[in-house]
Amino acid sequence: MKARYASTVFAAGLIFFAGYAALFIAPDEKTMHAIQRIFYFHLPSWIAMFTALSVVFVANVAYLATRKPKWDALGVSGTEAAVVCCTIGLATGPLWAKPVWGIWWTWDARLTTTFILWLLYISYLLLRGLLDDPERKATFSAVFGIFAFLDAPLVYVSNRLWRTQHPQPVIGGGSGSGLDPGMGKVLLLCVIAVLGVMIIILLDRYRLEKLRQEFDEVRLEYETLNLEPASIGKERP
Amino acid sequence: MKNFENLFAAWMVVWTVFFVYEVSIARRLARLKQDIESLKQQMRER
Amino acid sequence: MAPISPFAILSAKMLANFIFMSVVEVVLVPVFSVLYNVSLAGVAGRLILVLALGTIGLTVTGTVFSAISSHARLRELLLPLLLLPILTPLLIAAVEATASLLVEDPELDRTWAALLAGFDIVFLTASWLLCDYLIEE
Repeated sequence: MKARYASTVFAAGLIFFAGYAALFIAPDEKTMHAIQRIFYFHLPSWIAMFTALSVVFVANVAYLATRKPKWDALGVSGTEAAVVCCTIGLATGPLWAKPVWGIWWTWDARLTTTFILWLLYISYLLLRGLLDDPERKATFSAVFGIFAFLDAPLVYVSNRLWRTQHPQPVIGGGSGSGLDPGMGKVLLLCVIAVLGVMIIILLDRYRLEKLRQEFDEVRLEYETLNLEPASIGKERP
Repeated sequence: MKNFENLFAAWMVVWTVFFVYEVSIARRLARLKQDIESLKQQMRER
Repeated sequence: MAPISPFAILSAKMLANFIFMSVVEVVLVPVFSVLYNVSLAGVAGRLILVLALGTIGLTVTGTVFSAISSHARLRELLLPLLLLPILTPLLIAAVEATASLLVEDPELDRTWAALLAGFDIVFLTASWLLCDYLIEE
């Protein structure tokens, strides 16, 4: 309990400091000036999303290998965290794009593949909602999750393989890429902050899922003892 | 600051989304704990 | 249960779907070339390659996802909902590859063709690795 409060407070502090750094400490960008500072939320949310998706992939494989429910719990937690981060990225992108490109959206390779990835993992969550048997739900969402993850590398390379409206990679890109060290330090701080928040929501969702599994067990025990359906928790969120 | 509205909107989006999601988890967590306790209580009474 | 390997069952389904789709394509492609006044003479071989690669991708994903969604509620709605996002890269690649063949100076675009082939290989491999979990015991 204490550790959780401490980590939440720490994350909140990190967020505020990262936000302050993004707004005031980071150097001003040459052409875009203030609006470029969205970069300090935009890129970290993608990094957090890809991290969460990797966790989901590992959890999916682990569930199929071991059939332990905790991996299924981790899978759904990671997916929800990834969808949250993807939503944030898809929202901050257009907010940056409108002043700079003059358009909210375009169907170039990077934006389209990312949008598709967002839809894909939302359908993962929909699939889970529509499967009733718990073991089948866990197995099939693990299989679907593995297939879905095959799309993720495509999103990553999309702005290297094709010429896109979206900028070429800033870090690890070709010639002419690279980041001013002052910006790099603020970016690192913001990446740590957003990753930290993502990990916290992932772990909380994991606790919720484990608790739900515990609830199912207790309810089963109750119904076996009393041979009547439990009246509590009939409609669970 | 030029384009401050967009920058502020982006900031708000980021933290609102995270915050709303976290709150929704916290509420469901509390309700589940309550449900488990009442079920266990009912079993003890029997 | 009969001692047939799950992959045999899955590939039989995929093959059946592939044949069915190919028959439809064999009928439709000439019809469309007439309707849209497009000559397919010089590009027939490459077009068949693109169509074959695209059809393989469609049938592999379609078969796997219908195995998944057949156990869910709202399965008629769920299947297209699952398929559309996963197939979009394939569909775009197939369209772009076909388009590159229908211009004045047709030349099969290597990037898109490679994407088609890559998609097929990756998804076939994944289906083979995961087939045990798709077929009900």
